[in-house]
Amino acid sequence: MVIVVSETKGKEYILHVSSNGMITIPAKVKKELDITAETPLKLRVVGRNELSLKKMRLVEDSVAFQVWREHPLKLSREQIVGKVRKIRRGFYEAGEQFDG
Amino acid sequence: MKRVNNSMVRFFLDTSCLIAVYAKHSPSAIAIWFGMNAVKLTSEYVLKELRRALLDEDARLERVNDVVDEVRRKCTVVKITPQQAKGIALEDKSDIPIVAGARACNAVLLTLDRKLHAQARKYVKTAFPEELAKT
Repeated sequence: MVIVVSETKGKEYILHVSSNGMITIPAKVKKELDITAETPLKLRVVGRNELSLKKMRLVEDSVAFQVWREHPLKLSREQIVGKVRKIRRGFYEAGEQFDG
Repeated sequence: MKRVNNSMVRFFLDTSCLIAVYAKHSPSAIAIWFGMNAVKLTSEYVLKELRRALLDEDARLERVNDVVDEVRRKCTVVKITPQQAKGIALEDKSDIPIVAGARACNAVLLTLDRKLHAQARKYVKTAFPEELAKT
C-alpha cells in the first residue's frame, strides 16, 4: 500500500500497488485530484521504515502510474556482483581507476 | 547472522549496493537507502561504475542521470587519488579504488560482493546490507 500525495491539492489517498509496481488511480481520485500526465504526485509507503517520497510517472494511460524507482533491471545479487566485476575490470585494464 | 549497529556509522557504498537499490526492492537494499541512520559516502569512481552498469542495461540516459543525481543528493561523494591507495594490496587489483575510498573516508565498506567483503577486511571494516540493524 502507498499513500499518494497531491502536491497541488494537499490531499492524500491510500492506494494499492500491484506486483508489477503499477498503481491504479481510481477514477474518483483522478477526478478529485485532477490528475494529468503533468500532475506532480508523490507517494510514500505505509508501515515500512518511512520510505521517502518518490516521484511517479505516467505510463500508457491516465489512470496507471508506475513507481519511479521501479527500475527495469531485474538482477540477482550474483548478477549485480558479476556485472560490477566486469565493469571494474574494464576500467582497471584501461587505467581509469581513479578520480584525479 | 551478525548484525551491525548502524547508529551514526559512516558507510562507504560500493557500486553493487547502489545498483541493488535500483535493480531490486529487497528490504535490505531499501533499508540502506531510506532507513539508515548513518553517514553515507561514495566516490566519483563508484558513480562512474554505476553509470556504466545502468547504461549497459539499456536504461535511458535521462533515467541514469536521475539515479546518479539522487545518489549525489543522498551521499557525500569524494574523489579518490592513487596516493590514497598506497599500501593496499589485493588479489584483484581492480578493487583497490573501492577499498581506498572506504579507507580514506574512515568508513565501513558496504558491498554485496562476498570476495571484496572478505579481502577488504585487511584494510577496512566491511559489511553486507543484510547485516544492518533496522532503525
